[in-house]
Amino acid sequence: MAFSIPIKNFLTGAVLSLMCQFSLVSNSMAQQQADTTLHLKAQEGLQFDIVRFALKPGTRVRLLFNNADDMDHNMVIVRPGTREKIIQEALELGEKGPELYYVPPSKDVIWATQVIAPHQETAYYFTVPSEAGIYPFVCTYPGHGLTMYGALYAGIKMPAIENDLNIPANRRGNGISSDHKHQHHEATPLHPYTLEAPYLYRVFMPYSGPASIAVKLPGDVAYCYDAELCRIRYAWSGGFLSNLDLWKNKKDTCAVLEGEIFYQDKNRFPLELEHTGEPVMAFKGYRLVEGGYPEFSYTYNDIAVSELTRPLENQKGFSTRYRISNYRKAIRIPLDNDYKISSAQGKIKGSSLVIPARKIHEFTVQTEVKHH
Amino acid sequence: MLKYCLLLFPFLSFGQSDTEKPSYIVDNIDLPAGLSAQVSALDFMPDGRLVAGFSSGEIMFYHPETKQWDVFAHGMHEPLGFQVVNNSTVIFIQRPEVTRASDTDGDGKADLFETLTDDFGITGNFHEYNYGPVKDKEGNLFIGLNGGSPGGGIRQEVRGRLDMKALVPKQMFSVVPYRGWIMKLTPQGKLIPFASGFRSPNGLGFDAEGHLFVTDNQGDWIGTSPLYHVEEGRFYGHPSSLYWRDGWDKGAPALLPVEVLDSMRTRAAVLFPHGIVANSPTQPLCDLTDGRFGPFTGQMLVGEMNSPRIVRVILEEVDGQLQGACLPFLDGHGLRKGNNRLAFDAEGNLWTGQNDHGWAGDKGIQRIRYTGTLPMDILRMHLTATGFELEFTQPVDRNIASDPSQYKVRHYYYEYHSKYGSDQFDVQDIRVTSVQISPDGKKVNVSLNKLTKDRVYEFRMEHFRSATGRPLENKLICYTLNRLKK
Repeated sequence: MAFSIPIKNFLTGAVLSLMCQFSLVSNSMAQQQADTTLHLKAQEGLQFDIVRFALKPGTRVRLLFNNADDMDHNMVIVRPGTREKIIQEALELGEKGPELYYVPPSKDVIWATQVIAPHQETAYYFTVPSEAGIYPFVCTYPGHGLTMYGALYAGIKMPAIENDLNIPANRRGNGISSDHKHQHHEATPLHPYTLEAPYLYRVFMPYSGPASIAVKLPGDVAYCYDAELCRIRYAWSGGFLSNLDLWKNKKDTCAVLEGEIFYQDKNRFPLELEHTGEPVMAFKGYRLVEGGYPEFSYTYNDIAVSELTRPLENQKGFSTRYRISNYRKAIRIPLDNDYKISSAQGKIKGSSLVIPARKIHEFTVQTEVKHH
Repeated sequence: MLKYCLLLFPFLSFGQSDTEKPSYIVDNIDLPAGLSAQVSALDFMPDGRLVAGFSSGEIMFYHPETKQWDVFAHGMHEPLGFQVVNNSTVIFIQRPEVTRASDTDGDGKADLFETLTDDFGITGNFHEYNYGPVKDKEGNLFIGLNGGSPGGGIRQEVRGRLDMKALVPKQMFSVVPYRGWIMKLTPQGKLIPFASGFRSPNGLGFDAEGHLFVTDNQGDWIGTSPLYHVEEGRFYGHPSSLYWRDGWDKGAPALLPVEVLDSMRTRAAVLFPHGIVANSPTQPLCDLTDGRFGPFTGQMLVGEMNSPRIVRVILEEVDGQLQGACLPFLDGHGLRKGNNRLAFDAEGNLWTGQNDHGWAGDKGIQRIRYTGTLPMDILRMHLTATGFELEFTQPVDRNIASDPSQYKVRHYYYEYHSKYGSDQFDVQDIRVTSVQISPDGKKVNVSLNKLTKDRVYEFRMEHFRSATGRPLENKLICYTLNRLKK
């Protein structure tokens, strides 16, 4: 879709004079009649949304130029083969750059917009040169032109996109942008090392707070720890995260889970401790133990807690070892219809698992999926 | 005078045969395969290892001698700056917190990650980067919290008190505390709002005297990118963060009359003219190498994202406030764009880590070495009652320097407004009325036909060279004149 040509009313209009001299066409100066309208967007990633379009020589074009990016951009049409020369000349404008909208005064510049600010759209008019050729269009804003360009085919047939050397290499992929080439499970290395579980990523996670930690356990289980609420929000099996290459772009990001969530918290801290009011949780960090398991530390009001979660053998679930140092009462853990909750240190009493006071310095709770 | 000439003679003859020899050389640093070298943090350990953080979450060591890379930590949430504690402990900032990472078992890898503070809001907007930490002489750490971008949204779950009344469309926003602030973390662990008015402050640093400096990025309310001298309680211009000022009851700050906001703000010590000096300045780093990196000891270097350049800053105190000039320090020389993080090693080489993050930039690490060949460059620039004194690293060619037409001077200003960036206003060519050169040939006193405050004075000296014929390295310098000399 990225390479479709959204040109309406394609007409073989009268050929207007060749605009071969350098000119900055403001709206008031411009030829206001057009044979066709071209929508072009400057977008995130230093690129135009359309990298090539074909027009007949002499076509009068109304260009709706939308800067959907968060940087300034322009659009300059140059003579065939002069793109790199022009971006170099634009760079060399130095302190003259801003007032010239970064367009060098060169005979090789055919037409140019002004600099357009982020999230603005402006209509321009230009006429396709009467001489057939492949005319590069490029953003000459400093630092942009090496990747932010495309080709205007005037009276020349476009080659297959994968063979089109007039557009950026990362835009030649059969209409698929480079971002989508590597679907998940592809082995593009993310890091200069191979990770072996247990390991963790601090990353924006779905269905959790913004300070979350994704932990991959050995075996098939992973969990999402919320470092603000100081508890496991959910656990899943069937994979880990599919898009950890999150920080190359400038857009909102969130990891994508592979597999299925089998455990979700009940919107509360799993242990019942005696106190009044809403507990104040304070995350203190973690220690990597036993080959990389994070043992999280936090305070629950002024009660110091650490917890370490390991996988279960032969069961879909996990086991969490708690260590609580400055609390001397029994702890109740509400039972749950969805999960089997058990502890070698505790006893079921009614609808709770109770850990006696003498065991709370260290106890382990197992959480398993119930088999119905 | 005769004595001087005799003394200088050997240097002169050396210099003349030497005018083409570069003063600085840029080396590329090899990176391990599989690393996406988006450098987000860079510093040196006391034992000489480079410590580098990357956007994809790695914190790694590089041994300059063996050229070996080792992993210290991984899976971090965009580590954007370090404060090295000792050979086994590094404090760094990441999205959710300031973390102290330590290797407690001596295997070279961090195993203890302590949260020093997470007492600030996060909406999950991609632009809410966190910068720093830098440390003052009392042991306080300073961090910078980027605003959210209208190019993104906020997450369903946020951290901190969410208040959408602080939001103004199409502007960087601060809807949780304390986005857009510089924060101070005391040694006792208390995080205190320190100064407000920041948009995208991707660079904090102290100068040799202990003044805190912060760069910001051109955009809404910021006509051109600034370097601020940051002091407690002040407001630096981007309004969104004011919403979290203690006792604020005026609604969305960006809706206040611009004159009101203008009267509240502290102006930049230095403006980096957009498209001329820098479009996206990064970390300011003071040269404390005592001459090992060349003649600019005590001055600050600032990275720049959009062009293959590092910028130099020359400050002075005028009427009680710091202001001064910026100029290219290193252009070309094989330097890449995207110079996001800077660090000096113990030998006085400058290392630069590059990043693009979807904007203009590059990837990788480079090292800049001083060759010992003194550059012909502007050493200092001082405001005078009638113009400026330019001090050079070497005596100037008097024939050129004494000719007023060799100085292309103009001034302009940038408007303070909600619009993204600003054009240059009141652009005027300024006439040089007289030039006086000091007896040693190093200082040039340039008088101008007028001197106006709140203007950037841009000097270009295209044909300047030293008395020995060495061309002026950087021909452009821009002085931000906030205050006239009293």
